[in-house]
Amino acid sequence: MKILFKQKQWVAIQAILVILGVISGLAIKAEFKEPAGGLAIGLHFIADTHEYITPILFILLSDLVFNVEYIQGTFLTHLTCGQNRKVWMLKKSVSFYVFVLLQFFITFILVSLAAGMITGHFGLQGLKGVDETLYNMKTIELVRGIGLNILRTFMFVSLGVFVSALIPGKLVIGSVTSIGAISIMMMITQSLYQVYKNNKVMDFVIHNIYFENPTKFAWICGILWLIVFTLLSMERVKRVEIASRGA
Amino acid sequence: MTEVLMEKVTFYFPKGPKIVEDFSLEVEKGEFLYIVGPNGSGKSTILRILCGVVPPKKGSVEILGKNPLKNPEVLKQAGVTVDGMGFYSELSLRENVLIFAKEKGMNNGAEKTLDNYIKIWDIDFNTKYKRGSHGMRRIAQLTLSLITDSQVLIWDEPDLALDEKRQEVLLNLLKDYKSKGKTIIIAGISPDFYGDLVDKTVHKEVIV
Repeated sequence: MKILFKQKQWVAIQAILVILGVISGLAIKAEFKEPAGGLAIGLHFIADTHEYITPILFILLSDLVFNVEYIQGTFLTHLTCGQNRKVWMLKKSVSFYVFVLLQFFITFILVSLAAGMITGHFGLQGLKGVDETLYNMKTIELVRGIGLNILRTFMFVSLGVFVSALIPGKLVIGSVTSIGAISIMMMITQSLYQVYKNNKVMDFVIHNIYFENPTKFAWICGILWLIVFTLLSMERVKRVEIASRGA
Repeated sequence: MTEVLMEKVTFYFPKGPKIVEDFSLEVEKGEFLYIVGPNGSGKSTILRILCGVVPPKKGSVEILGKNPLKNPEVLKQAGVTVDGMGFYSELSLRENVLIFAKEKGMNNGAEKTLDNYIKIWDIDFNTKYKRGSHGMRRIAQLTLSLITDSQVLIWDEPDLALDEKRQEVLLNLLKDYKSKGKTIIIAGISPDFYGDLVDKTVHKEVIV
């Protein structure tokens, strides 16, 4: 876990999050005359289930699980220390999900601070203007929104980890491909939803896969997705060929 | 007692030429085997097959009576340094050795044992891996093999990039290791460097 926080990719993501906070602060400041607090803006990014920036950004960290280890040669070192490939990948994935969970809250702090520095307020002032849906939510609904966003982030990164493990030795390609695939799927789904608004299948996909208006079944779908992609990544790593020369 | 066994092993990369063909070797407990051959002859590949990180296309491998492909945990009793291995670049050599030693099941006494080896090698293990020279990195990897008190050493050109002083240290460590009745397999191009320590030499030629 400690190693993950020392990687360049992690540092780059923190810089992007600060920029995101600054841009959001500037946009809110220009749009509303009332004061808007950093916490209100930060809360929007972690609790609003219609907000996709955080989970999509986190996909860029997917290479840290396998590809960076493969390129550095540490994957080979782990194997020579007697590690079973599948067990190693499972441990690494679990540790990565914990890291992502921590990063989720670091995101809240970074965005809130950066946005607060721009707007000049650090509290929850102006939440109604920033995100009216969140403003009208009860605390329990807010917590559920944060939970669903965390689960969605896990889902997205598990896909990213699997795709990046499909292309060992090539950094960024796997994560960018995953972001592209998710974006295209979202566009297709949204377009189809516009056309078939009352279709039950579309309703199911929007509510349970994309968590737009989540039902209880959405949690099961999310957890299943996470398990399936984690298992697929383990199977993939079991089959990865060690190149004739490593790092 | 046979500690390492390789029987009629054949290996080639997909769509590539054969690198190893019907290759066999047998190493008894306490023996020092040196695999010698020209560059590109497949010595490193043999070691990778031997420790189960590359599956052979044909043939079988056993270390301490177990197939390392099916039972990778057997490698916890072996000290392996093969081509392509790496350490975490942002961590120091010391942190890296301790992390991987723990992974091999060494919990108690790792720091103390490592300190002894640091004195022997006389290099700064607090150097970050990314800032370490080729020789320092090699020494850190060899130290990982040694501190876990492995039954078998499987090393690919350990003397490469070491200066005269550290080559001397390496020879002394190997002498000591062999005197304890442990097994050593080294691949390289200079068997003479190890002199009388070598019990058996196997030649690996390029397959035409």
